[in-house]
Amino acid sequence: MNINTVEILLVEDNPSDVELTLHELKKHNLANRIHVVRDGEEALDFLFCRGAYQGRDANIPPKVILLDLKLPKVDGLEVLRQIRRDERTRLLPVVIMTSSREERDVVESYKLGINSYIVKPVDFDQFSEAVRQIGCYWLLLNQPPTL
Amino acid sequence: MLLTDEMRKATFERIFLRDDYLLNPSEQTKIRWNAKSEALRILLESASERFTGTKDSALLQEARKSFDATLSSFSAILEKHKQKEPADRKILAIDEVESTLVRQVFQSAYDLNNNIVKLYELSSRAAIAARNRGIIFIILFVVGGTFAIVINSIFINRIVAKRVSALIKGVEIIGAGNMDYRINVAGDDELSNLARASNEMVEKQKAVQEFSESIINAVREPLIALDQDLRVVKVSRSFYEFFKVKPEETVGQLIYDLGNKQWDIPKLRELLETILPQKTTFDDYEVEHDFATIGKRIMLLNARQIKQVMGRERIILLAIEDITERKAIEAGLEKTRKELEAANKELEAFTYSVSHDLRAPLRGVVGFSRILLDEHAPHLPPEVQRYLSLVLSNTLQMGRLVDDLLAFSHLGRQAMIKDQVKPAALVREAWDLLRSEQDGRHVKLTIGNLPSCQGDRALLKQVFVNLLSNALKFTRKRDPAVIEVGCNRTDGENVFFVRDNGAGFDMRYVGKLFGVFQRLHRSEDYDGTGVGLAIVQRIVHRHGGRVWAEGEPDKGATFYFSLGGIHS
Repeated sequence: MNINTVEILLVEDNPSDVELTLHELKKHNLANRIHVVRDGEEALDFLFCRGAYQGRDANIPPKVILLDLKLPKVDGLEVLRQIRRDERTRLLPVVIMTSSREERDVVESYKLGINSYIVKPVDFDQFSEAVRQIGCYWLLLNQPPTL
Repeated sequence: MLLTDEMRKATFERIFLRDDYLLNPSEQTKIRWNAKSEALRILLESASERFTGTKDSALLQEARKSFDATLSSFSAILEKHKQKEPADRKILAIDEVESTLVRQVFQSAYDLNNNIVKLYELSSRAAIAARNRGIIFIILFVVGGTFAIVINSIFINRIVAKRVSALIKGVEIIGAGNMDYRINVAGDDELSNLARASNEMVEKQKAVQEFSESIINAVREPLIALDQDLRVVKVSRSFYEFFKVKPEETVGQLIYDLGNKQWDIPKLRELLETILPQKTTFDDYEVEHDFATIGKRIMLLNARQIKQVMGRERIILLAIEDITERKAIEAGLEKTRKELEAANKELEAFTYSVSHDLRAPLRGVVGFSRILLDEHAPHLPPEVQRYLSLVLSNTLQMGRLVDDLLAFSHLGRQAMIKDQVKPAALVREAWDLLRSEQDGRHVKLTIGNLPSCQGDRALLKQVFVNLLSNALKFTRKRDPAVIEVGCNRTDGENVFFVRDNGAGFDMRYVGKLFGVFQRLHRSEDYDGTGVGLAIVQRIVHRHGGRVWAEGEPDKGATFYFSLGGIHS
């Protein structure tokens, strides 16, 4: 997959969740446009074209970032903070996809300017439905800003 | 003739000696007066032998009486003078008696003089000589009388002056704080009335003082009154008890010197010398000090500066509250609070972790089981499919347990927002939320008259959701299911209840009903996690209320709850 055609950036450390997500997106032919990073640092490297992502074109951003909160190295809220602070990324749509329904996580995320907050359901039917809707909505329905 | 002349002379001389003595009481004058008196007595005796005529005898008799009266009155004065003590309180009494006696002396002396003159006239039958002597006598008499009046008035003035000064002195003594002193009152003149009124005033003042002193002694907090020089005027009994000091080493001392200068505290100096001169009132002034007798103490001082009381220009009243123990308790409480806060933080971190980390693997198990069942069923033997279904349902149940447990732990930490709440509206909202559980069933709900109450709206709604959900669950096998929500007022307390005609329960197990994860029915019969009623109990307890239940197997159950003192 071409690193410059990524439309969904999935920031998720749990391999099961990654696989279940990709499995669902595949069913709807959306899997080839997704890129998975496994921690916060890698997410930031990708977005700011650093380290392993030095060659990436910063002028072609993903259409949406699916961000988990509990991540190794740099946690989700910190990633979000840096995205919103940088001129190049501050308008990017960010959807929090997390297991946490803790009120303080929800509030803090919204304060930092997220576009949506999804609690990943334990039930697979609900989970796949959520993934399907998110994929369709942000890739097909939503009009992202021109950066 | 010669005898009466001598008598007359002696009488006048004695009058002069008397006046001399009254003006300037000296021992010499007294002796001379006594000698003259004795001479006069002898003259009177020899006269009574000489003049035996009826008229003469009568006159002599009178003269003799006057002599005796004068003698006794003057002797009384002499006696009083002899007794006279320096003590001020007797002055006035003596003056009172003395002025009466002096008046008597004057009167008697005048009478005696008169009688002797009459006798003298009688005895001189020689008319011309008698007239001449008479004129001389009259002149002498007038001069003597006038002189007596002048002396008398000087004397009276002296007595009045003495009485007024005694009155002033008395008032001064009382003013200095001796409330037991009384101005001596005798007689019925203006000065006596003034003295009497002053005494009455002092009596009233003393009652007021006794009242305030009894207040000082009754208060539990140590009290101390200082004068303008910061010397102790008065302290309460509690002060002696608390600071372990004795009255004799306290009253009159400079406050800083009390108990071996234990009170020489810089913060106290600041209050007394810097703050109070500018402010007459100061409350809750905190002073911490290590006393040799009673150890380290933290005190709160309330200070009042009062002008012109207790005979002082200025009094500072200090009320002392020992807050050492309170501070220790507060410090202990603060420590416990911090520990509790830390424990709560830990618990929060734990539940956060549970919320995140426990659910993720469950999702994996559920997800992959589902994929196998949905997409690979044709390749799986029926038994494997059944096992996979069991894995799925167990994992989903575990997911619910985790969610319920999290909800339950949330309840303890969630802030309560108390408000006036209408329970009937909450019941209807809860019933609507449970719509899916009523589908395809014949359920009859009755809502009685529910009085409004004080409570957290969201939490109380949760109570009704859980109780109604329970009722719906355990009436699943009833047609129709009958559920009633009502309220009884018992012992001044509103008791809400939710009653159903469902499966009921055995009262032997009622104690297990509200425990977390406690279930009285098999999960094949009735599903659930056993957290619902535990949540109900927790919410009710947080409102300060009680919750209990009554039931009978197969005859239904009733759940009661009150909201303690906060319901209206």
